Amino acid sequence: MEEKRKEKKRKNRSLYLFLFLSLILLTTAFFWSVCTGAREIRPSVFLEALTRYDAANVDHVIIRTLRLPRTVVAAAVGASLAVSGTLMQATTRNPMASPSVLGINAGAGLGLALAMVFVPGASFNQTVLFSFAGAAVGTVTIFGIASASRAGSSPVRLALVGTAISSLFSACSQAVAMYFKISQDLTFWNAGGVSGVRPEQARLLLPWTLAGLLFAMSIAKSVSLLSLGEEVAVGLGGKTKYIKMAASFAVLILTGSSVAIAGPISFVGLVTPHAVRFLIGSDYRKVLPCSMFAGALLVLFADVVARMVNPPFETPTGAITALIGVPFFIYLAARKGGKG
Amino acid sequence: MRKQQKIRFLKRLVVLLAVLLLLFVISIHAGYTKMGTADVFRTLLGKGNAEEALILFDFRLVRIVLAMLVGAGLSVSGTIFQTISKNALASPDLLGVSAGAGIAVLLYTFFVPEEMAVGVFALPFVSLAGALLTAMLIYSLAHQKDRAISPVRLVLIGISVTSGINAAEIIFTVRLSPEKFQIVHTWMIGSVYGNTWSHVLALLPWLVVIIPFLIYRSRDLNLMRLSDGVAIGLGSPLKKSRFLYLMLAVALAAACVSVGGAIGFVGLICPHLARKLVGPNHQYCIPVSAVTGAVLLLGADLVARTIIAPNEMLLGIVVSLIGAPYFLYILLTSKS
Repeated sequence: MEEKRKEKKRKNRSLYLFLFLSLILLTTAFFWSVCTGAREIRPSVFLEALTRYDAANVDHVIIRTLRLPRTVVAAAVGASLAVSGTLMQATTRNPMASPSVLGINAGAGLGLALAMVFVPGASFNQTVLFSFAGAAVGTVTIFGIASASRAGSSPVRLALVGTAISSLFSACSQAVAMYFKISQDLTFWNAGGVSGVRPEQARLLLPWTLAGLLFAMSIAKSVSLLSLGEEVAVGLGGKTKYIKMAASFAVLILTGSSVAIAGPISFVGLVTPHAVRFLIGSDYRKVLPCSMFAGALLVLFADVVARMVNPPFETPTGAITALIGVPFFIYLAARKGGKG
Repeated sequence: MRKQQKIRFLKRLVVLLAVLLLLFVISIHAGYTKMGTADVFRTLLGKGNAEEALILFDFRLVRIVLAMLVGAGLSVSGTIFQTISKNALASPDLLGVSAGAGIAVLLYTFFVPEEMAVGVFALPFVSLAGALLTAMLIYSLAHQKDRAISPVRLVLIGISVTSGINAAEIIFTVRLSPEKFQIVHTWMIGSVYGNTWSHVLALLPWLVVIIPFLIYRSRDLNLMRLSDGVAIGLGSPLKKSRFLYLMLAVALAAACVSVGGAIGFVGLICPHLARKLVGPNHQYCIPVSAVTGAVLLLGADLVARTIIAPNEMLLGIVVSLIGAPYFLYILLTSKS
C-alpha cells in the first residue's frame, strides 16, 4: 500500500513537472512567435500593444492584425490535432493512428475544396461545416473498411489503407481544383500553414477549438478505460460504443476546424501522444491535457521555424512538422511493423 | 498446357495492342486544333503544311510517345520490384524510389547553373543517383537482422520517406518564383506535357536496352518467385542476380521519372493486372505489363487533356483517381 502511494506520488510529480515546464515553454514560444518575423518587435512593445493599443503605431498594428492571430491559431491548431491524435490512438489502440495518417485530414481537404467550388464566398463557419462533412466521410470510410475486412488487423496495415484513402481524397480535391480553376487557392491551403490567418478567422476558430477540447477532456476518463482494451472496458462497465462515438465526434470537431483554417498540418497528431506517453505514462486522463499543451508547443515552434528558414519568405508550417514527424513515423513503422 | 498459355498470351497481347492503337488514333486527333483524319495522315506522311506539322509532331506525337514510354517503363519496373521482393505492393512510387529520383532532378534543375548543365541527356543519370540513394536508405531502414523484410512495413517506410522528401521539396520550392513554382508543381504531380523529342531520345535507350534484356532473362526472374532455397537449388546465383535486377528496375524507374515526374500507381497496378491477364511467367507478363502501362498512361493523358479543354488536367491526378481505388482493392484482398 505504502509503495503504491509512493509510486502514485512519483507519477503525479512527473505530471506536475511536465505541466509546469510546458507552460513555461509555451509562454516563451508565444512571445518568441509574436516577436520574430520579417520585422523584429520587442516583447515590451507587444505588451504595450495589448494594453495601450495605438492604431498609428506600425508595430502595434502588425501585432494585433498579423502576429497575434497567427500565434493563437497555431497554438489552437496544434492542441486540436494533438488531442485528436491522442483520442484516435487511445480508442483504436493503434500507435499509428492519427488524423493525417488515416486520411481524415485529406477528407476534410476534399470537403473544403468542394466548399470553395459550390459555395463561393462562404463564411468561415459554413466552410468548417463542409470540412466536418469531409472529415466525417474520411472517418466512416476508414473505419468501415477496417471493420469489414482484415485491414484493421494490424496497425501497419490500417496505416496503409489510410494512406490509400488519403491519396484518393487528395487526388479528388486536386481534380476538383483544376476542373474549377481554384488550383492556386488550394495549393496554398494544401501546403498547410497559419501565415495568412486574419483576426476574424482566429475569432471564429476559437469557439470550435474550445468546445472540442472541453468535450475531449470531459470524456478523458472513459477514453482511458477504452484504452485498456474493449473487453476490459466492458467488464468495468464502460459503454464502448458510446465512448467510441463520442471520441470520434470530438475528433471531427477538432480536426475539421483546424484543417479548415490551417490546412493539413501533418504528423502533429501522430508524434505528440507518443512523446507525452513516454514522459508521463499511459493514463489518458493525464495524457489528454498534456498532449494538448505539447501539440500547441510543437506547432508554435514549427511555425516560428517556418518563418526563420528563408526570411523574409514563409515556408509552409506543414513541411516543417513533416520533417520532424517523418523520422519518428519511420521509427514507429520499423519497431511496430515487425508483426506485419 | 504451355502451348495454351502461349496462345492465351498472344491473344491478350493482340487485344491490348489493338486498344493501344485505338487510343493512339484518338489521341492524335484530339486537341485544341481540329484536324480531320485525312489531314492527320497527310501530315504524318510529311505532306502537311508547317503549322500542321508543328502541332502534330512537336505537340501531340511527342506527348503520346512519352506517355507510352513512361507507362511501359514504370510498369515493367514495378513488375521486377514485385518479383524480387515477392510483394504485390512493391512499386517504384510506393517504395519511395520515384520521390528520390524526383528530388535529385529538382535539385539538379534549379541549383546547377545553366552553363554547367549538360542538357536533358544527363537527367536520367542524375535521377538514377537520387533513386539509388533513396532505395539504399529505405532498404536499410526496413532491414531486420534475423528475418525477411515484411512487405507491408517496407511499403510503409517507403511512403513515409516519400512524404519526408515531399516536405523537403516544398521547402526548396517556396524559394522559387511563381512561374518556376508552377513548372515544378506540374512536374511533381506528374505530366508529360511540355516535353520535346530530345526527352524521348533521352528516355528511349534505357527502355530499349533494359526491357528486352529482362524478357531475355525471364527464366531467371521466374526462379526468383520461388522460395530462396528452391531457387538456389535450381542453380540460380540468387544474391548476384537479385542485385542486378534490382538495379535495372531502379534505373528504369529513374529514367521515367526524370522525364515524366513522379507519376504514381502505374508501377503498382499494371503488373498486377498483367499477372491477372497472362499469369506470373515473366516471358509473358513483362511484355503485357509494358503494354498495359502504355495503355493506362496514354488513356489517362487523353482524359487529362480533353476533359477540361482547352485547359489541362494533370496526368498524375487522373492516374491517382484510377490507381488509388485499385491500390485499396489490392490491399484489402491480399492475403499476407
